[in-house]
Amino acid sequence: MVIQHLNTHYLARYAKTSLALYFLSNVFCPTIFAQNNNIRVESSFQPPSITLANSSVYKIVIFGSQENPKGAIPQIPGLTISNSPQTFRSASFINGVPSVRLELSFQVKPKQQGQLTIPSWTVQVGSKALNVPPSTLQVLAPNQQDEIEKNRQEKQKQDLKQASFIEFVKPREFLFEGETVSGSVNLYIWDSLPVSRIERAPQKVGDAFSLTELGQPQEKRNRTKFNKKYTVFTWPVGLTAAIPGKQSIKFNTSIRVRVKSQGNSPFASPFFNDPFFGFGREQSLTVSSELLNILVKPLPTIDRPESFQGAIGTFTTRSIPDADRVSLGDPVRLIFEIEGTGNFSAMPAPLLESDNNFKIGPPAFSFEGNEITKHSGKQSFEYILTPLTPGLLTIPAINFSYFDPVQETYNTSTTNPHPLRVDPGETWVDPTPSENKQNESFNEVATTDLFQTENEPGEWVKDIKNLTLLDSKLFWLLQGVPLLCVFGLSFYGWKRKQSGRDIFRQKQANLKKQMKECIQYKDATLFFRATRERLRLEIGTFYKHANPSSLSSHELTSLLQQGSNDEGVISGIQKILLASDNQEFAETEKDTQSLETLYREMNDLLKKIK
Amino acid sequence: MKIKIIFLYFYLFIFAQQLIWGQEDRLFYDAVRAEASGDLDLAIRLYLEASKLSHSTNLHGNLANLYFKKEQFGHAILHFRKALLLQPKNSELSANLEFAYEMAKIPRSSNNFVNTYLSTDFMSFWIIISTVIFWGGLLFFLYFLFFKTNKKPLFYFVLMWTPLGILTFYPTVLSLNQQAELNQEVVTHLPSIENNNSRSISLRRFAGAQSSANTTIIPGESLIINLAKDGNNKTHKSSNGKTWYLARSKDGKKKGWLREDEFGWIVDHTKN
Repeated sequence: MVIQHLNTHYLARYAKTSLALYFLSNVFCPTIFAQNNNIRVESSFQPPSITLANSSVYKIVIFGSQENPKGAIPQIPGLTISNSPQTFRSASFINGVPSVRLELSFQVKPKQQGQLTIPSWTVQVGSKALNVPPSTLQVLAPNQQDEIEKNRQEKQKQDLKQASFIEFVKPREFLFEGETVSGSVNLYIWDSLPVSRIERAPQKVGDAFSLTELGQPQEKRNRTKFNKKYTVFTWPVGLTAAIPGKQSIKFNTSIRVRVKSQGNSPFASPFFNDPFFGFGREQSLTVSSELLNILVKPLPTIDRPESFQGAIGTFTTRSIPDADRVSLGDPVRLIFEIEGTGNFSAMPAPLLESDNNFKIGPPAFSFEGNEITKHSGKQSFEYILTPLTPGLLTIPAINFSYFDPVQETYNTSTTNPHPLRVDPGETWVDPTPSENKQNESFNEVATTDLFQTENEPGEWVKDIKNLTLLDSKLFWLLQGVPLLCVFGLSFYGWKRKQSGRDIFRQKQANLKKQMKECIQYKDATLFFRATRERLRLEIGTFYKHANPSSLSSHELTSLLQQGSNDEGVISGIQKILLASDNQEFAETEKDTQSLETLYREMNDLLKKIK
Repeated sequence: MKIKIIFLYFYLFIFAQQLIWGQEDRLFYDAVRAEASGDLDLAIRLYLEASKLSHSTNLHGNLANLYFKKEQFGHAILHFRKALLLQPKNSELSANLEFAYEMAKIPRSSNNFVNTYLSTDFMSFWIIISTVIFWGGLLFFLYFLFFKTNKKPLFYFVLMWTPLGILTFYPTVLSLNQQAELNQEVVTHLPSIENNNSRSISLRRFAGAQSSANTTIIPGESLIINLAKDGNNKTHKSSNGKTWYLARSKDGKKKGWLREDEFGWIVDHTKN
């Protein structure tokens, strides 16, 4: 059976190669140099020895003819021979004798190691059948470079697979038929992949499950996986098992990525081919998840309650009427609430039928919770009950059965019955005439109240103008006050700058600052230098000396004595000047505390100068 | 003799002025009496005649009330708006206007930040704030520049003053724009008797009664008359002598041509 199969395979390949040679015979036959006498054929592999990862060329050379050959290369197991050979014709004169030849080169690729021999076979050249000699190809074991290349290709494949993929975590090992579980479909996109957009939300493959609608995804950045940074798009979903048995599910989507252009750019620059710079072309890439196998069990039939209508999950129930006393005919609203986790989207309303006491209408539905998955939340059914008889009635209890997939049992939850007192009500009187009358009077009163007519015209104006504060002359007149202040201040400031007082103040401020810094850093030398400078500046400027910085201690004292200063002020300043001289020439140490005291003292003394 | 003639002319002029100035009062009181006697149409006519001579808050308030009683809500809203422009703080008029809008079934714009604090009502506030910040800031700037040796406070002050100035200047400009828009604002009303309040006014594609309507609006809705490139209203005079105006809604969603008798100016208009 195997031989027969192989034979069929070889026949097919044989036929293919024959066709290729025949095709060549028709296409590549512009000129035929026939030398019927010395036609011979040679065959060889070039190179004759290769490793398993490389390929070789099977070359057939026909000497003495350029006529197209006919024949079929025998197929060898473990060797793939291409169908499209390269043909080369040549003609030359050797010692005055014309010589022609035809070369056919076939690409061959080994699949296994060892010596692979193409046996002798027959080729038809014109009317002659020629024997092609056997050729042997030595296929060696893959070397280290081949292994590296193979690893590189495998890594590339792995990288491509890891560039973008879908992850859907199996919620449980098995589900029950009709059970809804919440999960999330995560699309991982590698940050280095130049994705321009997600073409569509992931789609489910497999009919055994139904899926809630996929809304807008949540985007999370900088998620690390496989040592790569990913952006993850998450779609929360509700998955409902529909068909029992061993089922499988997978998701796929397509994203649009920018890839390098196939052709060269017109500017012959790799920059203009680079997708990261916005060049290149866009290509759709299909992204899939792994195939997940989930067992879907049918719901047990044993102990199934009659009121079970397909609810699967864990629930609590309660019923609330909106009144406990009504008049006959007045409707009562009864809200039945189911809260918990389960298949809310496939949950019918519990049956509540009309009886002699109540007429019950079909309920209104409302759901509060996760609207996308509809897996956890609160489902409300609002029934309208119209009491039909007066007296003390009871709103009936509601039974709600569900299957708990965790405990694998059926449960029934029953609400409390509610007492309702229904009064007989009053005799019905047609309210239409009085209501109309009431309405009329209401309108009259409202209109009169709202729209009082004024009997005096009030102040007349010639035109209705849209006047603003900017139209007020007073507003613009008032602007003159700050404008004058600005001009005045500018002029005064300019004059002040011209007078040089500003320079004095600047110098004074600098020296004060310097002194404070010296106190902070306990630099007594610099402190006393600044002190003397300040005394010179302030005393010299006060007494209008031409060059205050040139004043000596003695001259400063003389200036102070010329003024009407107290002895205390003069002696205080002399003391400071002496301390400065001592510091400069004798380098007497001063602690921070005394420098600060000195600074304050000097400030006080300088204020007292007259 | 010459002097006598001059004096005569002068007295005649004063007398004529007195006659003209007294005319609107007479018309107003006649209108009040007509309204009291139940002749609302005559009262409206007299009020309108008086309004051609002069305006007062009570005149437009009374006129709006009459139109309201006749369920002509477009006219009522127009005159309430005029009255409120003359006396913006009148709460009674404001309440009446709101009721008229409600009755005319005109949706009111939501009271968001822009509609409230950048409206024309707040324009004076923004102008004063901007002026104070500008002049105060300038004076402080000069003080720091000329009288402080340390320039660091000047830097911090400019850093604070500039955004503060922008923050106050921007709403001022916005409220001034709204104020400018008020000059072009009109209130639509049905041209003749509008007893049926379900009727609407068409904004036509072209300036002609036969032209199809771009959209329709409820009488009482406000529109803005577009300006042409020369600064005048964008108008077209049809063959029957009627003038058409190109108008748009405040949000710009509705636009089309409106005939001169289908709206009333809130502010007295001299252009075109």
